Amino acid sequence: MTSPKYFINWTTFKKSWEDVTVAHWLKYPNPFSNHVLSEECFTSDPSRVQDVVERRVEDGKLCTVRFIVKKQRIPASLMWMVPNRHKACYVKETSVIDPVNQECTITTENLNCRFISLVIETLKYKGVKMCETVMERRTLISSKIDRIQNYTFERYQKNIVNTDKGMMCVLGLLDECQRQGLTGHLA
Amino acid sequence: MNSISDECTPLKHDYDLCFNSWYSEKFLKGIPSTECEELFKTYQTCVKKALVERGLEIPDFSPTKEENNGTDGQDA
Repeated sequence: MTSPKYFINWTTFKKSWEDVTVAHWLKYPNPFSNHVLSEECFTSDPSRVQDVVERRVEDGKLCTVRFIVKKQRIPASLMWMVPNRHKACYVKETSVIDPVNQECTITTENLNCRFISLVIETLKYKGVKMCETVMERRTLISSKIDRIQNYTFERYQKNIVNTDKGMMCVLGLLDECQRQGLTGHLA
Repeated sequence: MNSISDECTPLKHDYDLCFNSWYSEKFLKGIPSTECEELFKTYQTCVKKALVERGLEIPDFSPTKEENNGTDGQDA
């Protein structure tokens, strides 16, 4: 049995914590979410379907569960091997947003396709200054097959570059998005 | 972004519009308000039915567990 791989990094956004959490709800679609369309399912960014399954405010914290459907990213030549119920990727996203302490935790995990690999990502956004928010990303990637796990891990590391660029774009922090007038959401 | 069911998509869009405004203008400012609840109920009824029809399990809602997971990150 292969041991899971762990990934951790930190990203600083020069924006208020409030703006960053607003961007979380507005970030799809963005120009960078299309770049990863041909990648594998669970680590790719663009969501075509997003539904809120549960939502409530508890002790001043907003708790939400979303059900997200993404396109299957397995190469077309291998799709015949994939059972019907795994032709699309289902992702569960749970978030807890605490405005008093300026903390936002978002966990995503793939619900199907686990026979290929399991990816659990936890993002924590913490307001550190008036206009500065730090995001901590912790991810577990696990597969029974070593090669698939390494492949998924590598793809994941490449894809999060676009994920973060998409976030920066929505936040108006990316020059190329501003030049192309793509930063509309929070302006 | 669309709903899993075309039938629910307009309900989702109406709700999302309400939610986005509520989130910025009320929730983040600590102002209690239930202005989107009716839209949410209508949308939820539609989406839950759509999930059941597709044989999809509705994911569990467990914020406490998720918060704990966030601390050490990986034991989910």
